[in-house]
Amino acid sequence: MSSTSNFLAEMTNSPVVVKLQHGLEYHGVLASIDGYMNVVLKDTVEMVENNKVRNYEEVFLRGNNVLYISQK
Amino acid sequence: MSFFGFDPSGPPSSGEKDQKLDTLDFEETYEGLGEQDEDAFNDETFGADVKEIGSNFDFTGGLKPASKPQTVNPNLSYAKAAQVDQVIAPMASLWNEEAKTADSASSQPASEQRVLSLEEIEAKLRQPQQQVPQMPQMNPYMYQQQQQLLVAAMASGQFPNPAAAAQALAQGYFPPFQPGVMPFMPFQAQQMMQQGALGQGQQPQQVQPPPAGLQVPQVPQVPQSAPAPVQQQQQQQQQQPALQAPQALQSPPVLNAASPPPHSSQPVPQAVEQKVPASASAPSSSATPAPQSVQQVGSSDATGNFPPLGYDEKPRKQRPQRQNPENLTQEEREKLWRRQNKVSAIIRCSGFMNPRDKDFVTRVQLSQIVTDDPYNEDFYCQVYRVLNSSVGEDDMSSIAQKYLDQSGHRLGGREKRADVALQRMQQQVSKAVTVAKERGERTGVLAKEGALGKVSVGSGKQPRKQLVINTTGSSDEVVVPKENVYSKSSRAFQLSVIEDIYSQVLKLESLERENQERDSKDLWNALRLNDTIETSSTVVSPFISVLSIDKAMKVFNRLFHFLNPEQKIKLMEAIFANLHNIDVVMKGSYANYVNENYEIPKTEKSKIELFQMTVMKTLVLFVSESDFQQVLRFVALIVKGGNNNVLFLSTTKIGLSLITILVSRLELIKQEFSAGLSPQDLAQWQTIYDHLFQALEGRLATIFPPYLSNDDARKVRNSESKSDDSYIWQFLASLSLAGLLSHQRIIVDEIRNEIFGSMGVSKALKESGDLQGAEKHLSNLNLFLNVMGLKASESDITEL
Amino acid sequence: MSESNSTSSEPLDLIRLCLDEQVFVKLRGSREMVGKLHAYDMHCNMVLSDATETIFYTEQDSPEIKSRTKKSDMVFIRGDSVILVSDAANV
Repeated sequence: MSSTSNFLAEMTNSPVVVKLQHGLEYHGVLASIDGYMNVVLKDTVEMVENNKVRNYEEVFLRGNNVLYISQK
Repeated sequence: MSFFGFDPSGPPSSGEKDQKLDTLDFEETYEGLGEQDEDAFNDETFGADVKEIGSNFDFTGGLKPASKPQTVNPNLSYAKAAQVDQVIAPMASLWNEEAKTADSASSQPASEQRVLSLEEIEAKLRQPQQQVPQMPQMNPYMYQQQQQLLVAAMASGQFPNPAAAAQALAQGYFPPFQPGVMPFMPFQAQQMMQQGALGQGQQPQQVQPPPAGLQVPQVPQVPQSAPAPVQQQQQQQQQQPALQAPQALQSPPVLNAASPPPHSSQPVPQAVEQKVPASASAPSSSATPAPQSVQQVGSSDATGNFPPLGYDEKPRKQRPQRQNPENLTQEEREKLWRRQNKVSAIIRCSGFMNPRDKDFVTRVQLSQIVTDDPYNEDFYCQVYRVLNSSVGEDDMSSIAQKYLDQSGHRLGGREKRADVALQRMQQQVSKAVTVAKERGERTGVLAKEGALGKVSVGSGKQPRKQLVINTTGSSDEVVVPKENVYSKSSRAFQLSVIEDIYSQVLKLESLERENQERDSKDLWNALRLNDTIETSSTVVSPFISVLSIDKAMKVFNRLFHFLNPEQKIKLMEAIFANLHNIDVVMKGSYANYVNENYEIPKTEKSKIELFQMTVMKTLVLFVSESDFQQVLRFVALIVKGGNNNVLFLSTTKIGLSLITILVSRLELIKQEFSAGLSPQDLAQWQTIYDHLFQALEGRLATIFPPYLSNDDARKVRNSESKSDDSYIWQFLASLSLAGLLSHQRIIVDEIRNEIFGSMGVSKALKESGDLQGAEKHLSNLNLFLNVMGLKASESDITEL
Repeated sequence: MSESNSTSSEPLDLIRLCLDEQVFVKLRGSREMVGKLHAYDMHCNMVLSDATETIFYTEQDSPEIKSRTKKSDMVFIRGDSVILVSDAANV
C-alpha cells in the first residue's frame, strides 16, 4: 500500500498541523483520518495568521478543504 | 532519467553554420550503442552537405518520392536492414529470441564486403516477390535467406531493368526517413556506414565481374551532382573521425531527398555478386577489416540508405503488386513507379511502431493495471531498466517473452496466429479488469492505477476517495492507524458511551419485539458504572457524567426497562449517591448564578425540564414501587454525602424534588403499611431524618431560590419569578410530615417570612384582580401548612 | 464494555456522536451555524434544528469584522460548503 497512506496512518494520535485551503490552521492531535482526508483532531487550536481564534476539544475537518497535514 | 540513453546534458552545439555540426551534441549520447567505432564512410553514406544534395537530386523529375533511388545502398544487405532489431536496443532485449536472431543477422552484414549493383538489387526485389510473396514481416533469418535467394536470382540475370528494380527497392524497402525515426537512426546509420566502408575496402580483392549488360544502362538516369558533397564529407570525416556519429545523426533525414544517386550507379558492380554469397555463407563473421580505399568508396557508394526503424514490414507488402520488371514497358514502369510513390507516401508515417512495440506498450499498460509494483507503473523506469539490463532477463523481459510465446505473435511467438494473439489479449484485458474490479470491491472503491495516476470511481453512497487508508489490519505490511482512544474527560468519550448504550438498547428492543430472551449484561456493561472518569470537579462513573446529555436522558427510560431488578437498584443507588455530581442537577442550582441575577441559563433550564420528564419520571416510578428499606437506603445515600451535599441539593429543583419524593414515599409506607415495618426500620429512618434535618436546619430559607422568594430580604425578581414554586412547599410539607412537632416548629420559624410573603403576594394578586394567581399561591402554601393542621388565607393563618 | 467502544476509527464517527446534540458548523463564505444535529451523511450534508447562522462580514473602509445572525427552525446544510464540524458544547 502506498506510503502516503502509511504516513497518515502512523500519524494518528500524534500532534499535527492541518492547514486548510482558506488559510486556517488547526493545531491538534490527529484522532482519525479517512480516505476522503476528512480529519478529526483532538485538543485543537484554530489559528488564523498565527493568532489563536478558538479551541476545540474535538473537531471534524472536511477533507476537501485540507491543504496539508504536517507532523509537529 | 534519460530516455533511450540520451544524455540531455550533452555538450552544447558548436554553433557552426553547418547543420551537421549542430548535431555534434548527440555524439556522446550514443556511446556504447555502436560497437564499431570506425566508419570512414560516414560522410559518403549520408552526404555531408545536405541542402545541396537535396536540391540537386531529383530522380523522377520533381515527384516527391523522387529521392528514393538514392536509398539504394549497394552496401546494404537485407541482413543489414534487419539490424533494425538491434537498433531498437531497448526493445530487442525484451524478446530474447528475437534479439538473438537480430544479433546474428546484424553481425553478418559486417562481414559482407561487397556492393550490390542495381541489377542485383532488382534481383533481390524480385526474389522475395516470388518466393515469399505475402510475408509482411520477416525476421532476420528470413532476410538472410532472402538475400541468398536474391543473389542466386541476380546471378541468373533475371533483371534486365535494374533501374526499375532499384527504384522499387528504394521505395519499397526504404521508405523516406521520418523525423520521428531520428532517435534510432544515427546508431543504425553509423553501423551501416561502417559496414559499407569495410565492404568497400575489401571489395577489390573479391570482385568478380557481373553480367556486363545488366548494370550499365541505369547509371545515366541518375543526375551526377553529388560527388562534391561526398568529397567534402570524406575530407571532413578524415579530419574529424570523431564526428562520424553526429553526421550520421544529422544525415539520415536528409539522405532520401538529397544524397546523390550517382553513387548508387557507380558502385563497383563486380563486388556485389561475390559479396552476397559470402555474407550468406558466413553470417557470423565479424566486421573488423580496416577501412581501405576510402576515396573509392566515397565516389562509388555514398548513398547510404537505411530502412528506418520498423519500416521493413510494410514496404514489402507492396511487392506482390508489382509485376515482373522484365516484362514492363517504360510506360508501365512509370505507372508502377507512380503507384509506388503513392503507396510509399501513404505508408510514410506508418510503421513507426511495429507490432512488437505495440504489444510491448499494451503489456506495460496491462501490467500496470494489475500490479502493485510501483516501478511497474513508470514507463520511463521500465525503459531505463531494459536499457541497463545488459545481461539476463529481468522481470519485464521474461514477462514479455512469456507473453509473446503465448500470444503466438507473428514475430515473436511460436505459433503464427495473430488472431489468437488478439483473442488472448482480449482475455487478458478482461481478466485484468476483473482483478482490478475485485480489488476495488475489497477496498470499497473501484480504482485503477496506471502510469498517469489513479482512476477511481465513486458513487453517491461511496464517494470517491482521495486516499486509501487501511483501517483494518488485513496485511502485515499495512500500517493500521493507531486506535484513537478518546480521553475519558472528553465529550467525544461521553458521546461514545451514549452511543454504546443506544446500540445495546436497540439490540434489546429488537429482541424484545421478537420475544426472544434478553440478556442485559452488555447493556449493563455499556453503562460503565464501575468505571470512573475525571471531570473538572470530581471523579464519577461515565454514566453519571453522561446522564445530563440530552440523548442519555432520553434513552434512560428505555435502558432502565431492560435492566434486571438488581441492576435497577444498583443504578438507582449510583444516581442517588451522585446526585450532586449529575451535571444537570449541579447546574440547576441557583447558587451558581448569583452574578446572573440567579437566572438559570435557558439551555440548563431546558435540560432540567428534560431530566424531570425522563430520568426523574423513571426514578419516581421506581421509588413509588420500592419498599421501605430500599427507599431508606436511597435517602441514606443522599444524606451520606454530607450536610453540604444536602444543602446544595436543596438549592436545586431536581434535588429538592427527589428528596421530597423519597421522604414522602417513606412516610406513605410508614402510615399505610406500618404493620410491615420493623422497629429497626423506623429507628433507622428516624436517624436518617435527623441527619437530613440537621443539614438543613438554620438554612431552610435557602431552599427558596431568590427569584421565587417572597421574603423581602432575599427576593430577587427575574424571568423565572412567576414560575411554579409548589415543589418547594411540597418539600417543606414532606419534611414536616416526617418530622416531629419540634421539627415543624423549626421549619415554620425559619421560613416565616416566606409564608407571610407568599400570603402577601396572594393578597396583592387578589386585589389586582388575579384571583387565579392568588389562589395558586395560597394553595401552594397550604400544601405545607395543612401538614401541620394549619390553613392560610390572604390575611391570616387559621387552624384547619 | 471493551475499550473499543471509546474509540473512533473514522472521522465521520465524531459527527455521528453529535447526533441529537448541538453542533457548531463552520461553513464557506464566512458563516457559522449552531444547531441541533438531526441527520447527516458522508458528504456532510446535515440537518440542523433551531439553527443560528452567523455571517461575518466587513464593511468598506473598515477592518472591523461585523456579524449578523439568522435563525432557522430547521435547515439543511449542503455538505460541500462545510469546513468544520464540532460539538457546540466544546466550542
